[in-house]
Amino acid sequence: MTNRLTTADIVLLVVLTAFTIGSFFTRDLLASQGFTVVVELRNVAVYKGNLNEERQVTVRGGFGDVRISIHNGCVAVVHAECPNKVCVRTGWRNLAGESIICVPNRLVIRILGDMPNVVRGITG
Amino acid sequence: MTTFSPVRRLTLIAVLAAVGIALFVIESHIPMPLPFLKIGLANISSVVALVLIGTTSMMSVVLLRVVVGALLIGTFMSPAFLLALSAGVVSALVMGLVRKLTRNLFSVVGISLVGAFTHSIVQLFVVRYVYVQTTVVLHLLPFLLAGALVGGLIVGAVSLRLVRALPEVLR
Repeated sequence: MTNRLTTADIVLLVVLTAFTIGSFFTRDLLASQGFTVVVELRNVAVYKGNLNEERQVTVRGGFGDVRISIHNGCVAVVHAECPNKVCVRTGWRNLAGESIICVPNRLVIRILGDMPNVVRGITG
Repeated sequence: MTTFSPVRRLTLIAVLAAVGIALFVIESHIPMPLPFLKIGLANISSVVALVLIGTTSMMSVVLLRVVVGALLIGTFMSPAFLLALSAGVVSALVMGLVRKLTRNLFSVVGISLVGAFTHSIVQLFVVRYVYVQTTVVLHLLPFLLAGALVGGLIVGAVSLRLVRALPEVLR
């Protein structure tokens, strides 16, 4: 009868638990490599380019110059003079949907995939 | 599965759908830290329906619950409704199939876990391919699976107690 916990239940539980724990380590498999990088300063796009181009971009934020490097399909803020340097510590990013944000400089670097966003957000 | 007369079956579908709707509405008031994350309390009614009255009747319970539930909380025809509908129907089918194929290998706990995982995965893939055409939402997968694990266990445990107690009451 099905009104008692079975061995198969326990096996299934163990398998699903392993699957769940495993899924925490599959970030790169699920996400795809970014395609375009967009730099926005105070909500205005100041640079837009291919993520695969080697390029150094310098923008003037509220706290001096911010040096952004696009290298090997990744993007990072390599130098900033903001107080916390969260943007610099974010490091190299390459996946579609990732972003590097510097609040003091009001700078947002977004990585976009090759598909457009049809709907911006849904909550269920 | 016990055989019921058509009237009994119809009554059971109605009662289980009503229970599912009530649980669904109550759960919609519980705040959750992530979108799409839910315990899935309403699934108790589907699991119990599957065991008591079979796959076909369970589908009626699920459809009634999703449609009436959405009308009550005001999400009818919204993305949330379409997600609940697609994930609800697919997970119900999978639960029915697993039960049919494995006979009595799994108890309701196993069935409920299968349902919870299917629900999370289907939902996320509908979001990924229908609503936001980006892979960003897939970052939610681990958290949704963890939620499905906990939710599936809670639903399974409650259903197990109900399935033990109900057949005698219904006779």
